[in-house]
Parts: sequence; C-alpha cells; structure tokens
Amino acid sequence: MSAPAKPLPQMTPLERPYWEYTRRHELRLQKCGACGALRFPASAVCPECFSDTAEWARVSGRGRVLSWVVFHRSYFPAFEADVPYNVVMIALDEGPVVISTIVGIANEGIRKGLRVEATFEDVTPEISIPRFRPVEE
Amino acid sequence: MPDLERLKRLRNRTAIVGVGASRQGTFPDLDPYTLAIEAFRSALDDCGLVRGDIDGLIVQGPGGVSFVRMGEMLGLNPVAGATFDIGGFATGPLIQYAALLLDSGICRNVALLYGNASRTEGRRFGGETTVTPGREYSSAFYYYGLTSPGAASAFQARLHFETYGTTSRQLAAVPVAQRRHAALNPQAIKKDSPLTVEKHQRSRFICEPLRLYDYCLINDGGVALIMTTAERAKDRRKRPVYLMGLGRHDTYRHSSLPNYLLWRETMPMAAEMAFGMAGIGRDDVDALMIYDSFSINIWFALENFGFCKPGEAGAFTQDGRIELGGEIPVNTHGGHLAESYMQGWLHQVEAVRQLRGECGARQVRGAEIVQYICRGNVASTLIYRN
Repeated sequence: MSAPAKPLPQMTPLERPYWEYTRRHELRLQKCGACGALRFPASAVCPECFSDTAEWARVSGRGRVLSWVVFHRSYFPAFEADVPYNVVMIALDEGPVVISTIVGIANEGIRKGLRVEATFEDVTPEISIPRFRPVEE
Repeated sequence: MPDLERLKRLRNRTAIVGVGASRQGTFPDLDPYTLAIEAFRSALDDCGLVRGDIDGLIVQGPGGVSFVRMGEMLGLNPVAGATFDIGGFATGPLIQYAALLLDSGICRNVALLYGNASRTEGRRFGGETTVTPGREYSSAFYYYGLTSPGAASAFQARLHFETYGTTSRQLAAVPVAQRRHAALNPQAIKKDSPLTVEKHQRSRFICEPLRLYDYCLINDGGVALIMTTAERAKDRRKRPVYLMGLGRHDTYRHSSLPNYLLWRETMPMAAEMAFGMAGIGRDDVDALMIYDSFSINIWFALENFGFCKPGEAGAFTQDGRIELGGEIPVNTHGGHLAESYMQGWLHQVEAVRQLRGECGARQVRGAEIVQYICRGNVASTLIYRN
C-alpha cells in the first residue's frame, strides 16, 4: 500500500506567483515597489509602508539556520515514515525569515548559524517545494 | 498606547464572586457542555446566585463549543453572550470583556463557562485539524510537516537555549515544581505522579528540544466563573476577588511563523498596562498563574513581564524559587502540566482560592495579590486582589 499523500501548499491568489516561480526552481519574494522591503509570507500590501505595489524579486536562496525542531511524533499519517524529521527557520541573507526543512545532513548536524541554500523538490508536476541544504561558508 | 488614566477607573470595579470546577479527567460518556454545566452549578452554589440571575453568558472550549447552544441548554436569553475564536489565548481577554460588560452596565452578573472533552474526543492539537492563523502557529506550512503549538514552542525553546546557553535540564525545574504543587491539590490529575529532573531528562522528545513532560496534559473537564460589579459583589456568599488590573498586547506581525522575537516587543507592554492600571509593582505579587501549555511558557512570562531579565529564566527558575515557599510561587495548583488542561480557566479558580485562603496545604501565606499571565500572539494578563 502506498503512503498517504502529504499535504500540499494552499494555492491562494496571493501565494500563486510564489509557487509558479518555485516550479521553475526560483525563490522569489514580494519586494515593495515603494520602500523596497521584502516580505514573506505573501501580503496584499507592504507591512512596512502600506504600499500596494510590489514585484516578485528573485532572492539568493542563501541564508543561515535561525532555529530548528525535530518532530519525534507524527501528527500527519503522511509524515509517519519521516519521523524523526526536522523543520527549520532560516534567515535569508536578504532579511526575511522562512520555514523549510534541511536535506543532505543528519538532524544531529543542524546548528544555529549553519550556512544553507535553497534546493527544490518536485513533489507533483505543478508543485516544487523549496528545501535547504548545507553549503560552504 | 492604552489610555491609562481612563483605564485606572476600572481598577477594582468588578470581581469574581463564584468559581466552580467539574470532575477533571477522562469521561467518555460526557460532552463539553455537560462538564461546563457541572462546573456552573458548583459556581452558582459558591456565590449564592441562581441561573436566572445570569444576564451575560461567555462560553469557551476547544472544538467549537457554542455560547448559543449553551444558552439553549441552560434555558437562558441573556443580554449578551460571546466566545472568542482564539483557543487558550481567549481566557484573559474574555474575563476582560466580562469586566467591560459589567462596568458599562450592560450586564449585572456574567457567567463564564468552559467545557473541554479533548481527551474523549481524541484531540491532538496538531495535524490538519486546526486553526486560525496566528493563534499559536499557522497552518501555512503543513507541507513541511510543521504543525502543533508544541512545535512553535519548541522553536522558541531552541532559540532560548542557543541564545542564552540555557538547557533542557534547567527547563525541567518547571514541570518538577508544578508536580510538587499538584501533589498538594486534591483536584490535580497528576497528584500522585511525582517528577524528578532525571525522569524529565530520560523522557522522550515530542518535538525536540521539548520532551514529554514539557507538554501539558490533555483531558476532559469543565470550569465556571461568575463575575459581577464591585457593589454587588459584597452581597455574595464569599469574599470577592477584585480585578485590580488587566493588560493585553497582541502580535500580528510575522504571526505565520513561530515568534522568533520571543514576544520581547509586545508582552512587556501588556505587563506595563496591567501594573500601571493596578498601581502596583512586581514585588507586590504574591503568586503567579501562568498559562503553561508548555514548560517554556513560564520562562517567557517571567522574562517578558520583568520578574527576571531576558535570558535569565533558566537560572531564575532553579532552587525552588518558583515553588511554594519560594520567592514567587508559580502555578500552585499544578497548572496544565500537572493539574488539568482547562486552558487557563483553572488558573483563575486557583487565583481566587488562593486569595480567599482556601488552598489548605498549598496556601500561599498572606496572599493578597495574584497575577495571571498568558504569553503568545495574544498576550494577556489579569491582576487580582482580595
């Protein structure tokens, strides 16, 4: 029997461009057209200056681990086989903090400040999810 | 900024006059309404009011417990009813709302009823069953397997450990203290289950770095409070417990993520509001009731409310300082970690019982002021005096 499907991102009108870019393996965040602030998650207006003009600006995809947890219990049947799995908070070099998981390293190797960069997992033909892997300083 | 001069007029203007608790535990044959009503009967008896005196009906509980349905069962058409869809964050704000209903003259006697059958209903507080964004964590990142308020607290615990060099072993002092308190509380589910630091350290991770004993219980039960105005409170059966100060400050920015700023910008403002309104300082507080879905909550409440400095809660909570007889006893009933998971409502009951001097072996001697604190994106606090 195959494992149950993992939850997929919600494709709201606000979030759709984010996922259209990740499908092309590009990490892009909204950048305010007035003050230049980057924001995540998506928002209809700039939380800094209230401007409603924004572009989807490509970011480096590089950052550092800010905090992390390891799930030893599964709340989703689909994640049962992954336990223990990590979820991390990453401060991107450009400023915004994002949520993701670290791949390519054991959970025990995750450290605060660990240098990471985005990589993309094609989970369906339409959706690619950003994950992060350790890189050299 | 709140208008403190105006807010001060609310000081000691309302009071809790009746408290009640149902049985606490696992009750497969009972629903949240039945449990809440069991508590309500007890609270009415506690203050000498009857059902028909209630003209404000505030109802809360996980799983969408409805104030309208509750009123139907109770046969009440009150002036006003309410529930707030923010889970356990709602307890402080609902009591504050009750105070406003009373002081404004909209209501004379407000009943606050809480029913929770989470154990029987199999609620796990995680997975695709939840919740309003920003309540404690968002549903925005399910696809990474991120869920549960415990995970949000685990992110924060990790940040605390990494930033200040604090440890899980230090954190163990919180559940250990609360189990000691629970041993003195006949109502506590874990009254016969002492905990040691070693046992805590050997317990399994749920969401690392938090372990089993850092998590609250999940059980069934009901709680009821009855509030009225200060003038009417004098006619009730027992000594009124006055609402001396209240505070609240919300955090909506970055609320889709666990709060990595550890609410340093917002919780202190709730504290200043309440102390300013009450006209007291931290040294005047005889005991703290702190919302403890997870042990780490205690640290954030103590630090962000100024009972110790940021980063110092690890050391501060050692050596019995938060235990009965210590510098500032915390959760003398055992709290969610050891008494019962009634989402802050039994914390109010304990505050009232302490201020009435009804706590027996766990009585804080000479208690005159007890403060409730709930951390989070909806941070709230209440200061009670007898």
